[in-house]
Amino acid sequence: MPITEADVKKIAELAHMEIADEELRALTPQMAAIVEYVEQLNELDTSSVEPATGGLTPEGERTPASREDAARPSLGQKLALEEAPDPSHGHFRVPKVL
Amino acid sequence: MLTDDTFFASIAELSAQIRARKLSPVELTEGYLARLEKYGQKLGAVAHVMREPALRDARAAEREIRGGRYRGALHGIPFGVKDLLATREAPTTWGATPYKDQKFDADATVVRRLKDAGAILVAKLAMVELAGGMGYNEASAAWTGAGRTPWNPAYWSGGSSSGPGAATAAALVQFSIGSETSGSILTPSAFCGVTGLRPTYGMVSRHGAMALCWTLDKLGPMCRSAADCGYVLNAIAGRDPLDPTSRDSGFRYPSAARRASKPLRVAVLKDSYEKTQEAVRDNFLASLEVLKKIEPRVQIEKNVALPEFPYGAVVGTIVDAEGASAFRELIESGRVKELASPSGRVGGYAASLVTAVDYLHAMRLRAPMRRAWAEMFKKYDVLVAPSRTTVANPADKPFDQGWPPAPAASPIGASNAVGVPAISVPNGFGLMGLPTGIQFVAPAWGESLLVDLAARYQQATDWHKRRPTLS
Repeated sequence: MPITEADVKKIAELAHMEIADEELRALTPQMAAIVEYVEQLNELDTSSVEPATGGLTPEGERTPASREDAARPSLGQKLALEEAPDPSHGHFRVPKVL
Repeated sequence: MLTDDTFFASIAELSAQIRARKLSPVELTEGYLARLEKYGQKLGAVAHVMREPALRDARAAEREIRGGRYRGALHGIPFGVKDLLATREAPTTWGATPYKDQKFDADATVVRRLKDAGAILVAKLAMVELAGGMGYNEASAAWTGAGRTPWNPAYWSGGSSSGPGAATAAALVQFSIGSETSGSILTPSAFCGVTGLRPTYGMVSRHGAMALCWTLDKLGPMCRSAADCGYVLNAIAGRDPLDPTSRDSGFRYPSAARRASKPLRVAVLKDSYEKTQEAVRDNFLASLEVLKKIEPRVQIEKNVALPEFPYGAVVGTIVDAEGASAFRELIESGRVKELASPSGRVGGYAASLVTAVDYLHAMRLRAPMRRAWAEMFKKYDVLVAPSRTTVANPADKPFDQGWPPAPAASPIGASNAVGVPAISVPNGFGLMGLPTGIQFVAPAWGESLLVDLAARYQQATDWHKRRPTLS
């Protein structure tokens, strides 16, 4: 059953929202379209479709998720220790825990 | 003094003159800038003219070429980009008032690649606000006002790449870059009579481009010929570490590789032309005759139905969910109220109603859809249909009060959902002197075939060479 302006008005009242007539006229077909989309989609069974785990490619389901195994410059000791509260001899000094 | 013959010339023609130092990139850039300043606003085609940076880059290009360093076909060629691509030296407004002062400190990958190829960025071109992501029902849905086709400015230039369509058709730029989520390159290409190529999803990096739907958005060239599209795509395609969905497709233009000499198998989309506007239908049928001439052994099969799926519902659900997510802050802040389109002001709220379950259901359907399309393309090399079922809508009326709806099938939503490429080519004129187009759709990574076929179609026709009268 398509969503009508009366439905949208009622939803707005229940949510204590004021809604202008112009907004009502614009919102109703948009909400009706979404409900219609979902009804159409629900007619199709996707239980046999493997959930996508990678990106989307036009001819397959997966894009490689791993990057190239290549060395890249790291942060460097100086920069890494710059914000450390208590550095010592190129290390982070932390409070005793044991 | 340069004439229209120069401004409407192809990349191959201009680059031959630039390389031979018979044409100055500075003079050419000055000429396009003057045209942008004279006609850009009238056509609602321009967001920002980049006069100073463009002239600086043109002078640099000229110096380089004089010094013997010629970078290739795009060196010294002025272009414009849809205003959803980030540029360091001009605001990037996404066509929308809430983003009118937005600035980025880096160029989008596509812009950088074109600049690296020596092309001169002369303008940010107008677009439908947020690429239409919040919905719209009128040509004036942009802070720049209604986009107008140069063939008859009382009519819309199409959207959402409205500025690239109009500016390219009127030769305010040599070429432009548009974007398509579901129809935004093909529509303005048809309405403005230009050649627009929507590449395979993942072929062109979207780094620096406004995201509307990250699983549907594509960037592509809008030019005055298929050959020009080839040159531009050659410069922008390929893997970019800054966009993890981008891939190297091996596309090269010009390419020495020739298509195998097997007969071309063409599928005509069922119900796509019979009930369109009369001229759209007649021009489409005439285009099929042209195909028979340029491909004497062509096998044309009519009434080919697409694999059966609810494409409209899938694309609609995904566009709503991803668009509402991309613009969540704008919607929740209430600044959507500043959009020009009345339906755009509330569309984000309706779109936010799509549940995660429904979105995932739609996404899951894409796998069987893609497989079914791959099967279909085992039987056919290309799918053809009119680019649009009508000519351009009136620019000053809501779309639903424009042309009577033409109840014909279109492959635009479906082909976007599966991510395959398409090219729209002008194929004649219809009502009110407005252009019509034919679209060729190919399997994933079939851009070489599309460019080659469209270029041969254009060798046999002259629709792409017609020029609008500007006033």
